[in-house]
Amino acid sequence: MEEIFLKALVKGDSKIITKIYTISFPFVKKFIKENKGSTQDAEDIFQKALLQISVRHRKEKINIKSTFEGYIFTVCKNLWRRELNKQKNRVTNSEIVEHVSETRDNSLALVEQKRQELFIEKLNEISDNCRNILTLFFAKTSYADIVKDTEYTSESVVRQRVFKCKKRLTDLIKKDVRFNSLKEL
Amino acid sequence: MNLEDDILIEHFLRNKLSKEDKSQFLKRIENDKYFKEAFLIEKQLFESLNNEEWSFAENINVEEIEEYEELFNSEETLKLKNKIERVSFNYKKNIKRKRIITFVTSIAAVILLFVILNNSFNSSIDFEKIYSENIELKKMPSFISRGEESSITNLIVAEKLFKEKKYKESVSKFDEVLLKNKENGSIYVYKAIAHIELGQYHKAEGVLNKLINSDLIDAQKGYWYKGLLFIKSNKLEKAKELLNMIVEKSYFKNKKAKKILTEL
Repeated sequence: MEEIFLKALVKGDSKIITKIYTISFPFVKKFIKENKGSTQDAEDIFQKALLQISVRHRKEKINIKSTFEGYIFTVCKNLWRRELNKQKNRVTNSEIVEHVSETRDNSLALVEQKRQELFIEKLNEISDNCRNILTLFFAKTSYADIVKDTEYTSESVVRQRVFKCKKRLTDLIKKDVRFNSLKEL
Repeated sequence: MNLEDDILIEHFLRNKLSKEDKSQFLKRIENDKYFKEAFLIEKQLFESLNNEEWSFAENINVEEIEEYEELFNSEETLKLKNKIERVSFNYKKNIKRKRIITFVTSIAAVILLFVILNNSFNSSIDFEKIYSENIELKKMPSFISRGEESSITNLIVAEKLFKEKKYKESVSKFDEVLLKNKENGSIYVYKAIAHIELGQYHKAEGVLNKLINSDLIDAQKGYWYKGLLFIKSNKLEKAKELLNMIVEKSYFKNKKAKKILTEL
């Protein structure tokens, strides 16, 4: 079924694209409206997501592990997260933001999405214990709170554990060839 | 990378370094390739795996970016973009249409409800009209010409009170008369109407039932007035049933009953 949707996007099959809209757009609209956005924002993001998926599938064939609805929702969610952070940077950064074309920006968003997927994939490859502690750590949970939420006895033990788990995760990421074209230089 | 450097990177990313430490940190990034690599990967992880942030591609291999850019700029993508925009437009139009249909349906439902309520309201006015047009109080037989006996006197007083719309008092008088005289059907009718006018429908029905069940010539009049009582008290089905019976059996006022049935 996922393949049907992907092929329809590449071919531009209006009937299937309408179906995608009917199935997925209400969820995306709800999410964006609940997160500082408008219906117009949801429409723009949804269209960007469809284009992104189509371009990416044309180049390298996307392998969707969940459902198409789940995947398109994640892409939209990330595009919206990106947009909100772009707005935040514009406000907080006094530096002149380099203007990029729409297609360049879409390409950057696509690569960022790929990087995000790679990180999550690798995070799922490490032990449950490491994944849990890193999830708390990256969510900016303080060491003191991690001690409270886990079985670790002290902050220094947590710190050691985070250090080791992060090393495992970064090693896995660096070993993956896909990271070569995604990493910051 | 050692734990100390890891803590340093973490403090930088969490904005916990002093101004001085921060500038030293940035200098080290410029000069220490491994430290920079460790910092960058941690920064990417930190921004990617935190729902409130996003890891922007700031300085990555442009080759891949350019390949995607070419695809985004291709004719196929532009065609797809137009198609998506059209689908989006139609989707919105359909949603709008559905909303309008829902809106119109809701309005129609409200109007229908209003019409029903209004009709039933009007009906109650009509019922009242039917009742008042047919009760013909002025045509009620008068007891005055019937003599001067004491029972008759009471009857005249009752009638007088009735005509003065003093229904409560008239009911008491009719009760007194009925204790002695149960042979006059009109007394039942008067008393029943007085009860109706007082809104005592149940009592009115009881009086009319007595008339209906009596052997009096006027007994069948009881059905007619009971029919009017049902109309007045909005018991439409019961009224229809009774009026139909009056028509079928050609009872008292059967023609009027037929007329009312057409109106109902």
